[in-house]
Amino acid sequence: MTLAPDLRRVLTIAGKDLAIERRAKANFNAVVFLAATMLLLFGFALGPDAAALRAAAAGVLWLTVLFSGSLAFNRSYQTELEEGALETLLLYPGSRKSIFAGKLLANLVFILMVEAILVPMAAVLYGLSFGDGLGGVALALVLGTIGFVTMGTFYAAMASRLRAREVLLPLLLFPMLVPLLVAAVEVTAAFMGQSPFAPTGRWLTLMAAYDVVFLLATMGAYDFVIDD
Amino acid sequence: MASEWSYVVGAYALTWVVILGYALRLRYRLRRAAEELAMAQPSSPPKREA
Amino acid sequence: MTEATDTRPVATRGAPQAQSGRLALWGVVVLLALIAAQVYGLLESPPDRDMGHLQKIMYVHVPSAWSAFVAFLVVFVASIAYLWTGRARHDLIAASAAEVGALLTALTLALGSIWGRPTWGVWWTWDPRLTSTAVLLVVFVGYLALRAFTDDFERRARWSAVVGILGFLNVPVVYLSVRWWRTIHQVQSAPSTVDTTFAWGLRVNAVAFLLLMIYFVRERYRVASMEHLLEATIEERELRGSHGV
Repeated sequence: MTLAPDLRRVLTIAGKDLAIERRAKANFNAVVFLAATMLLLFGFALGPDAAALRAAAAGVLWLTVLFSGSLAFNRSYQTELEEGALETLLLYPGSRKSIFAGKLLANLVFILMVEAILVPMAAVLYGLSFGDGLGGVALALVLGTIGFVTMGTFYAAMASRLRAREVLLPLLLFPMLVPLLVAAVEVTAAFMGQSPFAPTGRWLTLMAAYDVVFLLATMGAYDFVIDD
Repeated sequence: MASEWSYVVGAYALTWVVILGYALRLRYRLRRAAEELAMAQPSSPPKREA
Repeated sequence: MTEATDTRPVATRGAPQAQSGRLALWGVVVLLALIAAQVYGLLESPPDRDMGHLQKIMYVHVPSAWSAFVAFLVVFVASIAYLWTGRARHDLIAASAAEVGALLTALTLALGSIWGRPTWGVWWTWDPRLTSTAVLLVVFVGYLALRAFTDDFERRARWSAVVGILGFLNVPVVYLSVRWWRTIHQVQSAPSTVDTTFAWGLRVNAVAFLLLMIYFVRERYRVASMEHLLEATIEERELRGSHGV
């Protein structure tokens, strides 16, 4: 098996999923508005003290990403399950891992776009100023989102096909994200200037290692969850 | 001192409640499964190997 | 430790009566071992310098944690074995060990809380071991929930095996991340001062708990294989019924 045809398959599937999303903008808009609402609600829950809000901002931002983003994963399979499209997709020649990689890529683009709107919004609402930390925050967002989307796309492959999908996906997914959440919040807070002495290099390494380990593990295991 | 002992007694009591409770629950489930199995296969021996 | 991950078959259809008798006998042995170990632990250990009599809680808390971890190791090994061989037995062992492991983990956390309250003055602290244990519990609660919601046997076995393997792999990563996190945020941790009399009490109780865990897994496995057989019987009867018409 050569790489090129598989890569083309991955891009085709990702392009197809993103085209569906683009045509039905309602979903993207709904996720963004939900995320914005959550940022407001967290603000009300934490109280109007500006310093307290700033200190909690990194955690709030990541929880908002996790909760609103997790709504996207089941959807990415449900469009396939309607009208038996998944069966047809499975019949095409080539590795099934490319279905996973394609969906992963599409979800990654989707969540990163949500974040691109969410982060400036959080900066305004919580009075954040990134300064030189902007590149670091972006790196943390990308590394954290890769891991998040990998796990989300993987667990949704199972959860989306069950009756209890709405509760089962977060139940399976969120405990697995604990190390990623801890690292992402620490790094983001550090680059926002909240904890200047935090060992950011170590946290970024942990996130990168998490991404690599679970990307390989889920890729390896994908045939077991999709093959039926 | 007395309150210290109450935590110790509480911990051991909880342990035994959990152990005996689960053991009894397994007994009950086993009995029920056996009954249902006996009802599901009337007289004929099980043919299928699971 | 590896002897504990015994995944030998428990033949349920060979001689159920003899099997049942042997397991019941084993239950009595486990019960006596537990009582003996706890009596030994309680009598032999002098009150700890720092912890006083509260230290006695450690004789149930720590063995419960260890045997829970061994149970999850069984889930991990049996899940790999299932994906490798596709034999129903391995899936049923994994499911049994997961339920027992979750129960013992919940007990561990509750006992830790009971110990922590008089020691630290709080029911909960963000100690790495405590927190990792809590994450372990929710991961395997998710595993059990997935099983409960998946109807098809073959699919349930395959999916839960994958979830079990990934969940187990996640544990060291969680532990590492929480430890780093803690060193930054300065949270108090469990003292690791262990003198020799205490260590012996701990070892004896650990063995007793390990036996208990194995007994539970085997009992639970018997339930699981009987329920599996029931499922297959009903399915077969329905199939035959529809063919007969």
